[in-house]
Amino acid sequence: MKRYIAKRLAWTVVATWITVTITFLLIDFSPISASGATFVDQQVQAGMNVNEARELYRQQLGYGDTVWERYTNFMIGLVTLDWGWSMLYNQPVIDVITSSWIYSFQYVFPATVLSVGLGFGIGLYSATHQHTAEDYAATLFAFTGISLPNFWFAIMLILLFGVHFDVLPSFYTTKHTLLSVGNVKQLILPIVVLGTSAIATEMRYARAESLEYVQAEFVKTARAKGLSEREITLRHIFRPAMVPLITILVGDVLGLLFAGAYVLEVIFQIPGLGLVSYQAIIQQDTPLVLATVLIPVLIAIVGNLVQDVCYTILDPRIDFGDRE
Amino acid sequence: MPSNSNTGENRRRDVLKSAAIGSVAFLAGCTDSPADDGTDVGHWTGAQASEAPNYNVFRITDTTSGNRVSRVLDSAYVFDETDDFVPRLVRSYETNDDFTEWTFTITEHGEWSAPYGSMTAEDWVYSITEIIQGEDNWANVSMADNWRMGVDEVPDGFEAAGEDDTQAWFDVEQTGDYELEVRTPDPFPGLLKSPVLWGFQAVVPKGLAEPYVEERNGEGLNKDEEIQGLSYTGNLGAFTVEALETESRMYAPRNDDYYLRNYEGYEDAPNIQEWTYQVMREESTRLSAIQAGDITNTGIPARRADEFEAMDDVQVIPTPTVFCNSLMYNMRSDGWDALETAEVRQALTMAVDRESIVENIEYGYADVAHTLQPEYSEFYDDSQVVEWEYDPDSARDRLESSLPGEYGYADGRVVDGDGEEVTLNYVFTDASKSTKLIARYVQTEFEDNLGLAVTLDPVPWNSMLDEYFYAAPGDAQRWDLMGGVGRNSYPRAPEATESYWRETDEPWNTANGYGYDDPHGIADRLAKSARMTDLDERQAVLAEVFGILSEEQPWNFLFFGKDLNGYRNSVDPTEEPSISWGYDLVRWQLETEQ
Repeated sequence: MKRYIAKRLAWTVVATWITVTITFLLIDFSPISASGATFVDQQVQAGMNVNEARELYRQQLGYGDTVWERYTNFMIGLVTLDWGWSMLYNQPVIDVITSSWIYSFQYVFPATVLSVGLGFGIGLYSATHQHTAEDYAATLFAFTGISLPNFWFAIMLILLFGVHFDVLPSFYTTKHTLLSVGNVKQLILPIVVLGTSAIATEMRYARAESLEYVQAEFVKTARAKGLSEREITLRHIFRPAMVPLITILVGDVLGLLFAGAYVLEVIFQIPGLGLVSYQAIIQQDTPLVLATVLIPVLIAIVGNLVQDVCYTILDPRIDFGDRE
Repeated sequence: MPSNSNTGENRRRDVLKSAAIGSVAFLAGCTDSPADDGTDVGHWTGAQASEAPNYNVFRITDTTSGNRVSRVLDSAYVFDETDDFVPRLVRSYETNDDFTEWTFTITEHGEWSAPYGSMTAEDWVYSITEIIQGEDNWANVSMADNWRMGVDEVPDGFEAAGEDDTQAWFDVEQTGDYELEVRTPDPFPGLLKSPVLWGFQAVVPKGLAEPYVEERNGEGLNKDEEIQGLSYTGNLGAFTVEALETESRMYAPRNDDYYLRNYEGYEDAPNIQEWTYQVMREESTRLSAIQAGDITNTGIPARRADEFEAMDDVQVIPTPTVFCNSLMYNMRSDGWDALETAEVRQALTMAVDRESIVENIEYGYADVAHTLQPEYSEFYDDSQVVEWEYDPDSARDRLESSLPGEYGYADGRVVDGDGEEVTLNYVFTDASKSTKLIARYVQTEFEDNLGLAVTLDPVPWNSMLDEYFYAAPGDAQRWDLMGGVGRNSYPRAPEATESYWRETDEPWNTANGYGYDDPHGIADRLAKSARMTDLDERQAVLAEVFGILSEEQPWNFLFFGKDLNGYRNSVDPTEEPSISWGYDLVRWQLETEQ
């Protein structure tokens, strides 16, 4: 097991390096950004030559070196935790990351907990009560939740609760302290939007996986032995269903963070990692893009490692070769 | 003290510090910060569609950053709605008879934040001569060109700007504690209204800048915490920065020591108690927020102006802009050669119903343009300007009679010498719905009225500039018409448009990227008028220039757009809508909403 984890961690380093390198090259060879083009245009209108204006722009971005030098400097910085300077925000990249993660976390975390708890719970209930009114209602909710585009749903909720009923704020602001009532109120809509699709997704998976075991022989045997329905559901249906669900979970959490977050953070103006990363890509802020790419890559790789370890705990049939 | 915190050790310390701050903040009290309940009177929240990219006053070129800095650091001076000088940090000015010596007196009540003391003329001269005019632009200043002038030869007492002797720096000297003199190598009567000192914010305390100047450390100056935190601004602005939060907001309460309060009429300035700029990237979110009363103002898109005007709690105020939205014609070797003929360009202009564009695409919030000056400009002269009316029949006749030899009409279509139909490529930026609609409309007008085929080529803004406009024939993507370009008309000092018309061997390296050959010497006339000491004569020359441009039609000057500003009804402005809109914000009132 230890050897396995060590190998996986080594692979983490290699995979991260490959991802960061590819991202670096893609950004470095991209054409000038829209704001860069505007800057050059302004200088030229004021009488400067185009090439001089482009050079001035590169100088302001700190682009004086060759690609290789920029790449080496960045990799050295990465290892030494000097992640460089964000030209987009004129701050150290590490400051941008450390000030933005909390805003993503405070709505992604509750949405994830809700989606796992409610999604798995409803899915399990739906599977064990197949073809009942509750099952149909849950299925309807799931299909609706999956089908609603996040951006549309978010705007509709803002119009309904922010404008029409005026009971919730129409956008997110950092003026509230994190555990204040004001902050909780402004997080409700993002959590609802993110949670709705996530609960629906988790529920469908949980229902499908649990159904495989509802009519299984060992479940019938357990029922014949007189175990309570609750015990059967939790121990004989939910536990084996957990193994594939764990696999889905890592992917889902990443999906929530970096697909849902991009849209939600722009619409609700939440200054989290998604928004910062999105802006960094649009504006070609290389150090910030690389840092924000690094985080999901690490989460994915470490998440997969954790998932594999969980397998061994939940399913003893899985073997890593060095298990004694 | 200036500091450059971009070191590995500091980064590690920052990680720990930020993590600690994050944890503490998470566990902090359960009540909102003061004045955060959304009901406080006198708190202005303005929505900005983008984050301020830079607070380094020597590099700012965007309005978002400029607006933020303006809240905490006044500019040199402003102009009111009648274009009269309104003093701010610069209280008065004098000039000599030939407009080569300008003396500016700055306020005696200005104080930087500790430890920099009083703001004096020395700070101004140091920032201008050592940073803006610094050798090889070591500080990578954005608009350093504003402080120099083209010359036949560099006169005595002036320094050359650049390697050849075709440009000279203005000579800037301190002449008193609160007085500085700007000398120009040639007469420059328009200096006051040109973007040199008007709106000028690029001054920092000498003590802050000195270490960076001595080391020629432009990056250090740019990354300085006081520069990027705007913490040096003392009492020089109406507000004081208290929070700068990335991708979120700038929060600045009223500055009770505001220097302007020492002057008559401003004793209580600013009337607004707290100011927040809130970043709100999504238009629908901004509009919902102003409708709900969560913010004080935001821009309103023209297509929704009627809806917001009908609301009881919101007022919509249109203000004119100085930008002319135009359709450019490619007159370089890679464009359709017929576009080099003025009559052909006139025909194209006559074939497009600009009134219809203004009414139907811009929802009436624009004015038809006839030349690169709005009609309210003192340099716009009705008697000189040719106003090409929409006249499809005359347009077609003019085109038919003006086409160069090999071109003609066959079956109602414009064809070349081989009988092949001529097809123009219309490139435009794909970011704006209005620009797309205009492109489709122009395409239809050319097809229907002139029998001229047009293909549409929507591209991103950066590609349009880099791969079409500022690219040499051969390297450039093919284009004949270019849409979505808004150019500043500088109605106060139109000589600043000289670079738009100046003919060069490589126009694609200049603002004349569309290759106008300037047969009437417009650029020279502008250069000459910029030096004219007789203001009536200058006005006459400029009026003539804009008359020539209206006849030449190097661009189809489509329209001057208007900005639509949406405010809650509690906002009570003290000024009339104009291109100076907002110059007197420190005296605007914010009343309780009913």
